[in-house]
Amino acid sequence: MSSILELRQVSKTYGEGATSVHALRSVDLVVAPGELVAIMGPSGSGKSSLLTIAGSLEEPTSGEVLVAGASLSEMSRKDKARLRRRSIGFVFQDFNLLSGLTALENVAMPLELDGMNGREARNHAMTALTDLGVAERAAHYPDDLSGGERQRVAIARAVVGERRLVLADEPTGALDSTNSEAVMRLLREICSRGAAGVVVTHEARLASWANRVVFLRDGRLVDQTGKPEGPESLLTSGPRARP
Amino acid sequence: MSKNDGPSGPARRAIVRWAWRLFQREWRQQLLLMALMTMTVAAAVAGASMAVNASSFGQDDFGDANSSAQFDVTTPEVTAGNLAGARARFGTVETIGHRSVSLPGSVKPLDLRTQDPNGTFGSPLLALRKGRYPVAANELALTRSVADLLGAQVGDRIVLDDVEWAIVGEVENPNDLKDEFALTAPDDNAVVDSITLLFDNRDLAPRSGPPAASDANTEFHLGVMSRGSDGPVAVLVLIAATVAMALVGLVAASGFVVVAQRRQRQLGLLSAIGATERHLRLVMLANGAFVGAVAALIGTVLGVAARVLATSAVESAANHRLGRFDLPWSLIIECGLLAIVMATAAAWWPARSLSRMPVMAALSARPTRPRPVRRSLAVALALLGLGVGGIAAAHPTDTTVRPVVLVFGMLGAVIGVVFAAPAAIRGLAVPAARLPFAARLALRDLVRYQARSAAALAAITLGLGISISVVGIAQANEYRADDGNLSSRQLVIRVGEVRTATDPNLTAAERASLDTHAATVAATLGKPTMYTLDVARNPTDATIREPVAQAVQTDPHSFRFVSYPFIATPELLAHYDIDPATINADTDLLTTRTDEVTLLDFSPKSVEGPAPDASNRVQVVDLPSYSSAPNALITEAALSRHGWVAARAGWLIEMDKPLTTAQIAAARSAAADVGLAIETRSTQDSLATLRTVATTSGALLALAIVAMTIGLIRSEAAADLRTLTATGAASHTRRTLTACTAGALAVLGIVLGAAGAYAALIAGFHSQLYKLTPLPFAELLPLAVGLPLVAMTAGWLLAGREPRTFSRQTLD
Repeated sequence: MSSILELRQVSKTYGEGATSVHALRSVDLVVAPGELVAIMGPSGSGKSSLLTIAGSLEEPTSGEVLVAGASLSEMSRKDKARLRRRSIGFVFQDFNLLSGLTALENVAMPLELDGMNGREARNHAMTALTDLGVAERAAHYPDDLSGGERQRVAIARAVVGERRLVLADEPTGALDSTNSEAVMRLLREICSRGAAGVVVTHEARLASWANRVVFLRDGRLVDQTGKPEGPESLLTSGPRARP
Repeated sequence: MSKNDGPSGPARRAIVRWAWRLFQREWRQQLLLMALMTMTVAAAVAGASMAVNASSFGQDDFGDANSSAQFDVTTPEVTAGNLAGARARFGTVETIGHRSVSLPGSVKPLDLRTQDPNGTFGSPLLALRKGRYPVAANELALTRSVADLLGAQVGDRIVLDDVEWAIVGEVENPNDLKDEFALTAPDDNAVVDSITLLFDNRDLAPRSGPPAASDANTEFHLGVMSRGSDGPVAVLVLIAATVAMALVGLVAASGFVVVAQRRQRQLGLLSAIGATERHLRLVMLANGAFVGAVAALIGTVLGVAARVLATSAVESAANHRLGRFDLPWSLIIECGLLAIVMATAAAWWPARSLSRMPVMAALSARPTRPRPVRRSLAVALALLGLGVGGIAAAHPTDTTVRPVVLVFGMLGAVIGVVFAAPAAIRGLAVPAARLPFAARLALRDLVRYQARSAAALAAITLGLGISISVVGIAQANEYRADDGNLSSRQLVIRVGEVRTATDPNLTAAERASLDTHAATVAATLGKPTMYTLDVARNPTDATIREPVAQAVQTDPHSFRFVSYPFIATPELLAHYDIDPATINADTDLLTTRTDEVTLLDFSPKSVEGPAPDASNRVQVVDLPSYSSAPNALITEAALSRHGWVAARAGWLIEMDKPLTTAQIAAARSAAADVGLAIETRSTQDSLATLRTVATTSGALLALAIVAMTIGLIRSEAAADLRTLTATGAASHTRRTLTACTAGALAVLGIVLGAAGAYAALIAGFHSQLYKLTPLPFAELLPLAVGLPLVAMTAGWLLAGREPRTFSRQTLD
């Protein structure tokens, strides 16, 4: 099975000289289609940097990132933008919905940016919203939605179209436990339909929805589990598989 | 899906839709920006229109003709020859006759004009204001100023040139409102001194400037003047449009920089979901085009309305009549279209910066790190240097002005100021460290958000710079306090023309009678202070009535006349605070001039003509330099030394207040009754109104930009205010924060604006620097002190309210 996302010896350093910060140090990671990977680690361990580099939002200082076999370093800014429109979906902790657009328009936006006819794009968007259970809120603006609804809309936007990689940075950070579980379940379902997913989270309970959990500390990938058997498996299983 | 990476149709629609929604959500800020831009466009349209309307460039004398010629009437044969020759050569020729008649009681002669109101070419030079045109002999129509001077109205009868005339109407020259004349009925046989011919000289190519010697048409002995090209007007249009649009662009830029920063996170988000740089730019460009279009439309309508409402004021300044809708429409349309272009371009620039920002940096919503200012400062200094050099090299005060160089010089100076703004903003960091908390935070925020602060400062600077420049130019072109023939509070009663004095051999009774007559004239003005003015005459030749003159010897055989000095009587010396004890015993002439002046006695001592008396001694004193008032005095000792005698020339009247038109008319009438004449200050429309309007407009524009910037920054800094309030800051802190932000922008704006304006003025007037002094403190001080105070006070008063919400905030 070919990988959707592959990080090869990726390092990221912010700043220069004495004030430089090494966010990532020679990280290797491969995510296959249908796989949901959770990334855990303490604050400042490089989780978000890994996600943004994987999503072409930032450049690595060294190393290589491949998405669906294509190297990001060889892509222009336009190519990367196109990749984000077509293949990568982002889910942010604070939702990051465009406040001037309705839920439906937010979800349709990547498709319309890619040149899809407005009506067709909205049909796709409505399908995505229906799948996520917020179709009845399609005409509402983000200000009028609850936190859980906002995040569902954000996920719908991340998966609409033919997305192959969904990247979620603390997608449950602003949600209560019920909504958090629902969001993770949705991500799991999306991956089970063939997309690859990477989720950054602090909570082990939520990470247990993933096929694999990767641990980062001081920018290094220090550990990763195998596929847990159930949502609560991390709390009960002791040994962890080394990569 | 489309493979095209540029905005496809659906993508463009989606982006524009989002831009429109953002506009709706930010309606308060957008309305603020739109209002300011509308005001700027209106000011630009009105100002540029008025500037073009006010410029006449000597095209007023031609009417509908393209050429004119004037000749003195010497003999009937020459006159007939010139007329016949001109008609044969040019076809239809219209004649306007002039006869100079003395106006009783006034030293100025009156132009008795014979002109057909329905003339082929001259009809635009004549308009009826009241009554009717004269149609019969002995009927007259007067201009307003002549009627005022004569104290006459339509229906009155007056005596001019020993002829009784019936006044049947009031007329004017619509192309020259200062043209003073009395119109008689058209009469081919009227006795005239000179004739003006108007005709279409189709063979002559239009040319600007005065006629060259080669223009003299020797066949008819006529010097033909041709209507100039519209080149100077085009230059003025170009300059007015350039400056106006630079202002519109800067105002727009100052607003859109803030709007773009406000949208930074949203644009970062759009980029994260796959928007390209062109998509991101389109969001701001759509905003800019829409705001620009609305502002251009409303601003143009308001500007046109302002110009229409100000028609009479513009006519007064332009010195010619304007149709209410006699507007430079092409310029107005250009201004409107350029406003849209400038607004769009102003939105494009911050959009470009934002679209190039890394996505994560944009998503973080942190302000970009201020760029180093060293390079921009160097560019600013270089551009300012080039701009000032260009303005100086263009010789704007000369007839040889180089318009293209001038335009580029002005552009260089304006752009130089724009580049200097970031350095000035960065300079605020220096005092900030020593200031109390709120002021420190305010100044540091300005530095932290350098891009938007600098854009706002540049707009404020240019607005104030334009105002200060207008004030400076108006001052330079206005009569100085001691310019002109007399002050507005002075009147001179003369015994005759300026060059004449009474017979020095008058008896005491005759002198007393003259003084009594003069006192009668003075009595019409109330109880003014009155000084007798005597001149020095050589009694040896009674036929030469010309007094002893002050002159400058230009070469061994010729002199340049300066003035006729009056006798330094004890009363005059006391009036001018000159202590007789300070006058040297051998001094002949007291004068303000420091060059080599001498006294010139016109009674010839030799057949070669007048000669200076080499023995006279000159002493420099402080006297007013009005040309008709005592600006030089001959000492009484000089009279006896040279054998000259005092002859009565007139009386100087000093009033407490400026003379009114009615007072002047009454004095003239009284003078005419007793055979004397009066002289008053030659009028110049005061440019004080222009200076006041320029100062007020600049201050209002600057305040509006400050308000917009503060309004936008405040909405941006709402989170900071919430934090401050949550940590215990009282309304005093919030007020100080806003007041300091407003005050700092206003102070920097006035400093940079004044520096830029005076750099340009000094360059423009480098050969006449004295015209720029004294500085117009009446206008500069209110700007320098009042503007920051008003800005700070307004900021203080409006910023005390506590933030509305703490827990629930709308999304970005």
